[in-house]
Amino acid sequence: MHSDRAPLALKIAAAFGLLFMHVPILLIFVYAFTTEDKSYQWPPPGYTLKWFGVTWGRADVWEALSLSLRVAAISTVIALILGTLCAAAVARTRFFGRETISLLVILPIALPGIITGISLRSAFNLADIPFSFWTIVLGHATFCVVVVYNNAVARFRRTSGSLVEASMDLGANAFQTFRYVILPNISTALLAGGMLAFALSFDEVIVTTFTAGQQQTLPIWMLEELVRPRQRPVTNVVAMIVVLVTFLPILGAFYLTRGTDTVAGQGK
Amino acid sequence: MTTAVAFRKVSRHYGPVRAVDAVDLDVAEGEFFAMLGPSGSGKTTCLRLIAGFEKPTSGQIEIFGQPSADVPPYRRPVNTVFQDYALFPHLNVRDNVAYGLMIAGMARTERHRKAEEALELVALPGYADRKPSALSGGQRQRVALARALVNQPKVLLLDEPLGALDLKLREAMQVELKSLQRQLGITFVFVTHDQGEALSMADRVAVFNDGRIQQVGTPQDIYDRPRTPFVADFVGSSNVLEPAMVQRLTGRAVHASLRPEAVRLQNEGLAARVTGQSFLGAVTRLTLDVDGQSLSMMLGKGHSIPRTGDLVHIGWDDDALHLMDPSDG
Amino acid sequence: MAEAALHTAPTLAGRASDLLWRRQGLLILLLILPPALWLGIIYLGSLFALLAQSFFSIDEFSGLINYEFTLSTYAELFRPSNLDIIIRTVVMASAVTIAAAIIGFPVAYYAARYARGRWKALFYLGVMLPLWSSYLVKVYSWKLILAKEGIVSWLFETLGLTWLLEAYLSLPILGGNSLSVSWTGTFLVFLYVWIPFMILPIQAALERVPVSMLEASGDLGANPGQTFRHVLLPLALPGVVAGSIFTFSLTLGDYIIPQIVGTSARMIGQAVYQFQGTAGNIPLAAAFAVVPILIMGVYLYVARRMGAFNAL
Repeated sequence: MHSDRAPLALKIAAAFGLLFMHVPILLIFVYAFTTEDKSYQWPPPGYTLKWFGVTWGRADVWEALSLSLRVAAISTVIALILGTLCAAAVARTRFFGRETISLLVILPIALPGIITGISLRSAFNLADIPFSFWTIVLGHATFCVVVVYNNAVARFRRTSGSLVEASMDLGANAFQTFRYVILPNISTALLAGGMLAFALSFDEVIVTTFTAGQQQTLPIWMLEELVRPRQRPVTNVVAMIVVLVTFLPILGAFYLTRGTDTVAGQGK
Repeated sequence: MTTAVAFRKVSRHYGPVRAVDAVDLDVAEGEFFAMLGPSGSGKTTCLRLIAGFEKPTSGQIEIFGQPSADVPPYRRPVNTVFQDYALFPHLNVRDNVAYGLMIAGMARTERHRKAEEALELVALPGYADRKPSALSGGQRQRVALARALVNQPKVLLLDEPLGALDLKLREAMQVELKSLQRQLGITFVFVTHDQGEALSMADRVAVFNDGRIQQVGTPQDIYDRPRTPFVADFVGSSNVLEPAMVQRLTGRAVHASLRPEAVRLQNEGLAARVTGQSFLGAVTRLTLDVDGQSLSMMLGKGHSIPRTGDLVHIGWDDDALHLMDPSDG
Repeated sequence: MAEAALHTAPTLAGRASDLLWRRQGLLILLLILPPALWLGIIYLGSLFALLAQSFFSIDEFSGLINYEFTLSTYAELFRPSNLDIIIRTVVMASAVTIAAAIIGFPVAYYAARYARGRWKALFYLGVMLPLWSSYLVKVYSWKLILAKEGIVSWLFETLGLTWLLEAYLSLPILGGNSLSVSWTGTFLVFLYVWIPFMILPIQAALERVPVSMLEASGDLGANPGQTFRHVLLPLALPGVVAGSIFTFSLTLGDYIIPQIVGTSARMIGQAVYQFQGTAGNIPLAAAFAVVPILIMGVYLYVARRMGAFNAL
């Protein structure tokens, strides 16, 4: 244990674990270029760029992508507001029911998605709310709050409480203190939380299957293709693009919070 | 003389804990006032009550005669130097110092000029563009001081501002702070747990224990004439003599304090058993046992040092024994 | 004097700020109210509405919900076919959790103890990226891998081991027509999709073990194996338990993975989905949904007693 060299067996085991996590995703990239369009044949009989063009011309893919982006954007904004408010209240003060509030925020993620989904669906039915863009947003915002909350609460705790006092001491009222001290200090955490919330919403499928009517988000579109494959190569290309698109906010969030607080994994 | 800060029966309770308990206090304008006490004695809470970060559970605090109950921190004519300095990490040194002026609506060039002046005052010119994270502890402390002083507060509150510095730096800053206060004429209220710091810098000292003020007075007063056994013990490392022993010596059953340096070895007098000795450089401290009462004394160079277990005789001048009569009030 | 301006008549913002300072409870109330209302009404409201329905029953002839309190819906859970679903799901969740701990531990251990600087960041991203990658894409990738004509079959063929794969597929329960319609396939996909959730808490727990503690153990005569067993493993256990909360809970509630890769036998998630959807039996679906909640309730209680929440 004194040496800083890892035993060989540990190195191999760790490498195996990482390979297990990454090879399947990389395979998707190969399949996006295959010429085979009827089966999942490996190795691919040939390579082509043709399917990118085909996918580009598919109106249903564009519609699904646009819906997903709009839902994710609005859910993220709502989650940012609610998550920040909640984190500010919980991190700064002790009040009755504080624990309950943190539990309430985490619950939509801690319980299986199918339970959140069915609950919302039956509530919409009971209240005679027709399924729409907004019912999807309602569900997404609910489970995105926790990601923003986790990031913001960690930063609030790290931001020394005396900074707020110092600001007030120097003549700034509550709003000025928020504008000039609190916001600049939590902004990167909020940006990171927002990016993760966006990625979470963009990718969500389980709750969405219950809260969407006829509308198709991109994951719902993919689910349809998985259950009843129609044009496999298009699915391959879409899968690859989804991987690339979700990596960007994750990498961004990582660099924003690097060395400060960790991007909480339980946010998902 | 005008009273800068006045406490009128001020208490601050947290549930059953009485952090500050019925404190009465007057700090005069232009005075360097120290609040001294162990951690948890209520001194920092008193400072926070003046700044407005805490509200009294009962009683009233007046700042220059104005009741402060409904005045939020940002409208009080006081500024604070925080224990952890609380410099804004996202602003450079210049903008940290100019923060109060910016909030007050001063134009950018004007407030930057004032900030540079304040940095010169604390002997830190040329650092304006750095971020606080690029400064040493002593430099941060100076920035925190400049940031508070630039607003020309009527009262400057300092919460253990030298606590995080090493010994050498701390001694240098003590001298500087003292001369700065003389130069500016601002009322300083200084919180510390270091009795040496309080005695060497302050015009007057309030000794706190368990949320109450034990004694207020000049450093000389506090050192020579402690009013309670706690003050004698905490401030001067004085010997505190139990009432039973004081009765035998003087006929009055009260506590008394006796400074170790006032005790002498004599050929005859009070018999004492040596229980230990520690070498302190210029002097050696002996600990003694007199009929179950433990005493310490200082022995200068040139004396032969008795060994543990030896029987010695001790004495002192009559006026060295200070009786702590509770009725002296 | 700089602060003189502050004593003049305050602006509206200033007056609002004064009010918040004087009544600090008001500030907290204003902060907490929007999220509490949203989560309390939209989320908890829906959840209770669902749970309430589990105490109703469905009229077998009309197919309409009978709004009278009854426990008969819960009794239905104990029918052999439904009990099978529950047991199958719990066994799967346990198997996935154990396997994730075994494969995930070395990765977490290496990242926490040996990876430094650039490698550490790389390891972190190496776990975060799969964690946050699209769930459906991850499932889809395994549909490609496990397909009859896919890379696994090709690998066995290239190595001349096709007979081995066929022997495995002919095993009862574990095997099937091909890997993509076998329990082994379902298990592999679950394991793959949830394993990052196991690694991160273990890594967090391991990183809190000070090196000096391991050195002390060595100093007291323990060899590295003993140090691992008697010092490191007990200290990492809360992390493993925390990770297992995720892997277990996520497997219990999932209905998409077994639908895409696996046999026709259902798991709890699928049962809930079908009862509320095609079968229109909301009360039974609700009662089924209570099962994972109950199991996780017990699980969380035990985990909490083992100190797992500190590792989250």
